[in-house]
Amino acid sequence: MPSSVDVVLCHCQEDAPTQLDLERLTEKLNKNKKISSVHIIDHLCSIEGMKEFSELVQGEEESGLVVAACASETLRQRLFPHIRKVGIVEQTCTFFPIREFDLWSYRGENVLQSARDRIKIAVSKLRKCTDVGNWSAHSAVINYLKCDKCKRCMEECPVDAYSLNADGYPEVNPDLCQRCGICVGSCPVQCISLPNLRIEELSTEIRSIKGDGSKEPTLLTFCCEPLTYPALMEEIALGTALPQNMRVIKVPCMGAVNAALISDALSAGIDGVLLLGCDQGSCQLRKGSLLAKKRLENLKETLQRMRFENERVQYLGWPAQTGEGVLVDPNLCNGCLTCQTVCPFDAVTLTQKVIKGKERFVTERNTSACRSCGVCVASCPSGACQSLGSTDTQLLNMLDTICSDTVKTTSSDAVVLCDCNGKLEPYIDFKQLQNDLSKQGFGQVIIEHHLCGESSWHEVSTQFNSLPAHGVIGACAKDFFGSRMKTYQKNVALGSVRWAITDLWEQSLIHPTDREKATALCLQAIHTALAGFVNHHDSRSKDSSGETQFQEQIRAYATIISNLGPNPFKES
Amino acid sequence: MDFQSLDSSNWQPLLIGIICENSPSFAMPFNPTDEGYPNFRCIRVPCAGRTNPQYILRAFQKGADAVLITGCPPGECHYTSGNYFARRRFKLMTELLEFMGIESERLYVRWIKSTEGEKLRETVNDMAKKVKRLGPNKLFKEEL
Repeated sequence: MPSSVDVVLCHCQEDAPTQLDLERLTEKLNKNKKISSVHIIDHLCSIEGMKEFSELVQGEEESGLVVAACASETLRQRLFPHIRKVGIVEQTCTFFPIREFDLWSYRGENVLQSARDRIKIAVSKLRKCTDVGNWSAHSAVINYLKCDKCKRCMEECPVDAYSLNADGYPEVNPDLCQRCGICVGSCPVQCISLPNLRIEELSTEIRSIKGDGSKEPTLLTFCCEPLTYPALMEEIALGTALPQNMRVIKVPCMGAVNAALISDALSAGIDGVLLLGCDQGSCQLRKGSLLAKKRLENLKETLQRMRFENERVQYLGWPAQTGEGVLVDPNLCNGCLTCQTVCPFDAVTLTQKVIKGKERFVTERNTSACRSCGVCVASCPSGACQSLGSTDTQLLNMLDTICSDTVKTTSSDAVVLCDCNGKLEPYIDFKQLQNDLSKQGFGQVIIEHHLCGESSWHEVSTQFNSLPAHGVIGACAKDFFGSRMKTYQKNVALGSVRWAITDLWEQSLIHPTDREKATALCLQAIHTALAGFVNHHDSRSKDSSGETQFQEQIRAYATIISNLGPNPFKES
Repeated sequence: MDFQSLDSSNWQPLLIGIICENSPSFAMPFNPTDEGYPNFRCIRVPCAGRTNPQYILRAFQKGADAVLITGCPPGECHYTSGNYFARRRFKLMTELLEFMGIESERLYVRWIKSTEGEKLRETVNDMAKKVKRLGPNKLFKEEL
């Protein structure tokens, strides 16, 4: 258990609709006794920021660390080497995306209070976590002192990882365990935990939820890590405003939410609990969504006894993600069914079709089950399957480009570069890059300062002489900016251009001292992007004209809760 | 011809990575003590199972000196079982390459988790060292 918790805040709000005063936030956080110190680092993603960060963590072996910044997954990957080096274990360090939650999706009055609340939740979670020490202990852990041999876990484990040991207690096979946490959710005495998901942590997390001080209902949302959490992030990036007091807790699967946690949350004064899981059948860890729904049904009786309305707790199935999918060419398919044997998701169906006058069996993909992993594409002996996101031609083109350093360009190709308001200038020579790109036949090369803001895109559109057919964007951390830019591009009528995104920061990190080499790398990255042309989430942006399904659902849920009135336990 | 590049100590092997999307970003801050950043370039595929053996041959044909393929460790594949297919496929592939006269050290298949950026870096450095000893790949390379 960490003796003290440090908070690191990162500062980057150029495009945010709400502004957060970090100085005042620091002041407020410093009053909290649980937090030992608060640091503000300007741009954690930059090389200086990282240096500052690694110096900061040098002396902090014993303490926990909360990093509140932007796109947490990208940062996590970049900062973890520094954290590992000083021996902070993974469990005692939390990354959470303050930019997404507070700057992009918060529309209320009191953004400071809301940010403070979120940080406090993260801190209180860290205070309870234990250093499991052996980081390789990856499977579920059972507390045999509490276990009453009910064997519920054996029943519900989707991969049959449980067996009985000589004393009649359940035992986990670490090789089979996939850490979905379904046993954690099933255990009636809450004696099973995952190394990074202990019931104690979750319940302290829930208890410390306070809200931002306004009268809006407090909603607790559980998101599953593989599907709905990234989907929620993307939804936020596309401009969805979440209800003001919605707090999100990440769990591996909806099956990992123990019923005791829900009743705990309600008795702690939370107005509504929402389980944001997969739609039926699309659970990656198998059975998770089904079990969660069944448990909610069973919980209803308990809730009624506690005089809670049933509507306070709901399961919301996230509409199945429509990936790019796999296309089967019926003229090439020979019906060998190799794809059916290899498909991990049973997405292959067989249909009868008339091809060239003959009736033949060809395969098709069930679009709701297919997640476009491309295993069938690689195994197809006749070359009939092609995944739309990364076809063979695209990948081979990219391979050719990176091996031979040449790419075919036309004058209708354009490049838009972002120098991050001059912050990238010390590492990459933009003038040189611009010259090189124009020499190699790119029609238009534009350098902007804030591609993350909408006004920049407006400028970009005025600078184009003619509408390009393909465009490459060279900017920073690509994950959520990609989807956010989509909306901007649409607004300035650049939506019809096919855009590929490449991360310039990543290239600059490889050669932080050598400007020439970094520039060459960027050039190469832009080439590869043009050769490959992987479209990011093209299918999603098409239907973004009206309100998305998620926006509708979440609003409907929030209205239900506010109609029910505040949680009666709140006052006491 | 190529002998010149073999003799000169400046020769840098061209390493090609076909990397699973869930593997770490390869731009980990390199140590200043490393002997320069190896000439490593990569493309991303959705899953290691997506990699067609054809890609490896193409990379060798276009002048790659070694190819690295990464996926998630067994049991942790984002797509449940894609990495098992990859494993089976590349076992065969290594044997085929050996039969054709390419040193087996030129094809690397490694399991690297999304949080193990350090390991990816070490693998690439290690690869660069070994391949440097082997010399450039001349067997397959297309004469342009």
